[in-house]
Amino acid sequence: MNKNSSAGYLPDEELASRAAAGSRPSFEELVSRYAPRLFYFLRAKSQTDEDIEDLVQETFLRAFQNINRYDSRWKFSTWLYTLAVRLAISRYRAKKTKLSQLDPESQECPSLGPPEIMIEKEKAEKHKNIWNLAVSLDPKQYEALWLRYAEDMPIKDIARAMKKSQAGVRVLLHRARLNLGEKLKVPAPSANLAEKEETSYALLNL
Amino acid sequence: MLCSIYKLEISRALDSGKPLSGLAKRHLRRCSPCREFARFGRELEQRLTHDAATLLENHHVSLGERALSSLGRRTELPSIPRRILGKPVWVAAAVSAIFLVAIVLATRILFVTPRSDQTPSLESLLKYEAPRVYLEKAAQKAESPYETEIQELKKALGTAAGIIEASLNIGLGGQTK
Repeated sequence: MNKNSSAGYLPDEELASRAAAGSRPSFEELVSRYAPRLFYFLRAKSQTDEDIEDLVQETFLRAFQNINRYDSRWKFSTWLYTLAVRLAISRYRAKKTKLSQLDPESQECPSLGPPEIMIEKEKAEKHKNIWNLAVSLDPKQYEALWLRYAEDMPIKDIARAMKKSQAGVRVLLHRARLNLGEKLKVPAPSANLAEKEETSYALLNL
Repeated sequence: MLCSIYKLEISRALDSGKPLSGLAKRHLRRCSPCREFARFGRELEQRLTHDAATLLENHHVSLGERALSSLGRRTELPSIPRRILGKPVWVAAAVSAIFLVAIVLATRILFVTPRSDQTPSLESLLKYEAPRVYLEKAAQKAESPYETEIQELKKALGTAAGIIEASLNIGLGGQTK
């Protein structure tokens, strides 16, 4: 995605090899290519933009420290997303433990007061882009969707990145489709009374 | 019940790019929700791909810059590939050790000091040495104070075993004379 087709464009794997040999510009190029992609990938697991940015930076730091371990037989994106998933999981666990130690009730979902309702309305505005709606899915489903459609990854690579079986990834994608369908479901504007009972999936902006 | 199975098949077809089975196609002709799901799945694919591209195009570049500056603060890229300091160090160390041992052996074999004319030959020394060793062993055996006693005990035990074997009519596993 967003790949420049000019003659000077180097594939990610080549850049990673150069970065492993000590080329800082190559690593910087990888960072500029993947920073926004990782940002959107990780946002299902984090609550604030600051958290996500921290996680993105942490992922790049880890990638930087371990770039020599990258096996060029695999796509660079798969490797990077694998690192990101691992970091996100460990951070999520640490945060969960910390929260439960501080306040056992803090994990419960608070009731939506007036400011929260305003935020929800703002969010609804953002649903013009379907990824802003997809982010409310289960994080695993969101991640599988992102890797499949934003990264155009085959199921095999998604399974590797997410440490799941291929069948597991297919199930995640299926559930993501069903849940997104539910979220987008609106009554069909049909004159027929019988058809009014049915619902259809109305996709915004399509 | 069946619809959930067919929906799963529709999803699998979307993921693999393979066409639906004849059975599923027949079901779709009859089932409106499943038909709707199949259409939705196709549209969703296009929408997700398109919107991801839009998101990334509109994303400000500052995140990448911040990540880079953070990296710059926290570390520097190694000028030498870390591979040298990583796992392959073991291989390099093992190869060097083997190489050193090979050099030492080769040196000893190739550059061993030749025997001078005055030095007696090994064969003549062995000729004298071998009988001496046999003689020493025989003398030690003869001088052993317990040797005769052991032999007598062996004889006594053998006899006792023979008597017991004969009286009880069993085999004790020993040699019968």
